[in-house]
Amino acid sequence: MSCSRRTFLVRLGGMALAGSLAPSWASGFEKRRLAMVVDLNRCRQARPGCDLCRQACHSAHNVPSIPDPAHEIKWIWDEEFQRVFPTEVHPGLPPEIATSSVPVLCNHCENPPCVRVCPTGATFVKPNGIVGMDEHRCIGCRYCMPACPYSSRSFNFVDPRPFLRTTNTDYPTRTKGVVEKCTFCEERLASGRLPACVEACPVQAMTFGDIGDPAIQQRLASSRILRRRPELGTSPYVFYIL
Amino acid sequence: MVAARKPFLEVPSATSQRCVRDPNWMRQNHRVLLQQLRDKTVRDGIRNEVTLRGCSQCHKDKTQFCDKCHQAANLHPDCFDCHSYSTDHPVALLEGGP
Amino acid sequence: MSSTSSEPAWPSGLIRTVPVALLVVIAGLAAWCIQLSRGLGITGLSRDVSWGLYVSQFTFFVGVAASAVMVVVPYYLHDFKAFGRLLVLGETLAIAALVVAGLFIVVDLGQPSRVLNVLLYPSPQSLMFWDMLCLGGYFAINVVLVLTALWTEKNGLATRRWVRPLAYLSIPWAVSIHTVTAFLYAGLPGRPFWETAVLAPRFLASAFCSGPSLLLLIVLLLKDKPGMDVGPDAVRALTHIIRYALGINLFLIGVEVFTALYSWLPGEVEAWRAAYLDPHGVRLWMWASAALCLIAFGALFVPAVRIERRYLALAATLVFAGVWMEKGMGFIVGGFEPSPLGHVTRYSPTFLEATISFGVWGTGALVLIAGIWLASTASAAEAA
Repeated sequence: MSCSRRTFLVRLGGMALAGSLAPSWASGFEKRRLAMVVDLNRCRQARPGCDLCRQACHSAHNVPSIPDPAHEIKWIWDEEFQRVFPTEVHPGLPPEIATSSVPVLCNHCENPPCVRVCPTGATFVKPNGIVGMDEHRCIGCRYCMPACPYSSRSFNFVDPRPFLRTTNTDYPTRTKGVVEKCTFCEERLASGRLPACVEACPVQAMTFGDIGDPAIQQRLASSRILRRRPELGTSPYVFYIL
Repeated sequence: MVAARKPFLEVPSATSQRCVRDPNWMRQNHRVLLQQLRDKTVRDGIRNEVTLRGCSQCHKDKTQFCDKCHQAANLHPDCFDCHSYSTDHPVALLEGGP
Repeated sequence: MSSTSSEPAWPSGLIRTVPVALLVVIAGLAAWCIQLSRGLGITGLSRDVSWGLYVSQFTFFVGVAASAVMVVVPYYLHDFKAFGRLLVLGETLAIAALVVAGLFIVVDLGQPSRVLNVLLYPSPQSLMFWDMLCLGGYFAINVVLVLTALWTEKNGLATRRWVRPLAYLSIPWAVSIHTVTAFLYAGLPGRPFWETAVLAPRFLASAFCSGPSLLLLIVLLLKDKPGMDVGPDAVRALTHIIRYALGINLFLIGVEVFTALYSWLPGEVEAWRAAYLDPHGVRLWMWASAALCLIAFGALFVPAVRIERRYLALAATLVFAGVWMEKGMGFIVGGFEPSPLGHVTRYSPTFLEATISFGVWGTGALVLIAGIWLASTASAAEAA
């Protein structure tokens, strides 16, 4: 009636082998070091209060809108320039820049403290540089949250489903008791698309791709580049053009 | 397992697609299969494999499929706390997705 | 350690606390069920302050557990026989403290049913993984030591020979459990309030004054009960230990404040400023702790306090409360103020959160009472 355990394992092994032989283009941006460049000059040209990157991300990924700020979940959002880059604040900095909005998100660091502290490997580094999040394995200890020096991670204090304005059935929600964060839209990369925030930006302020891509390299070489808190040694891969 | 003379689960609509495994194998091993595929997708990024969407293409109604045996055996898998069984959008059978 | 046949071997005053503790535990369990159903949103935690009362109590009681080494070292390494009657009580307190610490972790988890993932998917780069192993090992050592001691005493046997090497092992192990716990905090690059090399020594110093203070308080309260008199030499030695440890603790805090403020490093200054001055932060706890610790430290040098049992108990309570406020409430939450983006978010435990915490403390109290009861029956059996 049922196959033996040995047969089952052999069959699964065969399936795994078949899966590993799948063409690499089918999984999208594999084996590359992914990076994002945010051009703050262009971002400032958008209409005040532009929120389209956050809206696109949160609706694509079923991120709930929880009114209590203590329990809010955010994958990408705006903070003031002087809070994001306090070391860039100097007496000559124009106030409109100091108070301008900067989109902040998980930096997918090369040396992520959150991965270092996770006791179960629920957050982990992928070969393409993405810091992944496995909500199945997460025990909700929230050690990664104080570890992240950028405040990029959110915890589900309550069941998120009642707070979903719309539901994208192509993507799972999360449940209470696990941590979540930006994943560089891995599921979109797998089908050859760009991250939702990059696509949604009305002024094309965001560039995304492999760090070796000419488009990325050209942007990084041509302007004054900021990284968040570089002195901490995390080596973030979200770059900002001042 | 439940022994019944009439079909217990909804018989899938007749399609040209075959299931990845025969029903007996699935009854015994679908949990482990799903977990293995889950880890491959989430941790290894390999998405061109069997997905829940694929199951729902033929087994269209979760209440007549997953829930029937789970309720009978008083099991409460928490998959659907997060995942939705079917989608509003048509998908190809073997495309990456939840 | 003898008791007359007319007096009960069981400290009768203590037994009256058992129903109270049980009620508290049941209330805590009920509140935890609510938390399991509704999520950690029932606590005062927030996205910016993601660790609060539960984790701070875990940290504090790991320290109390480590402080058993302050009894073990003098007895085993320096032949300080006056600690003989204190040994089992000290190790029992360690066990109760570990139970409390472990339970606080369990109630803090968002997905407690998955806790075994820490062992199923070992992550040796994570200090939390090592903390689990260290605490588990220390728990096992103390359980073995206590049960063996009670069993040999009850049956009138000589101490087992292998107890001594095991006690020796418990000494570096006790230091390690609290060092690893300190490393949870001291290795995080984004938290300047925690990121200091002196954190592990600070944790140990505060542990070695708060743990023995609790031990001293218990000893003084139970002094008149049959079989619980540990002798004046033990009390005097405990007081010395508390004094020195408290002094070192206060000195290390002062060192921290100097290093932060004199360097004027922005992250350090912001963190310590928020800790002592920000109205939405933990300043009440920090100042209250400083006051209590300084008063207690001074009091412990006053001869009348050391001699008079009531005053000594009061001083021990002040030390325990003061360190609890700083390490329990101030330190952990203070690390989150301000957040990496400069926001200070007020944290205060909710009613349900406090109820769950009381339930955990109540469980520890029951474990401690059970240990004291076992010790007193063992000594009564030996006397009989």
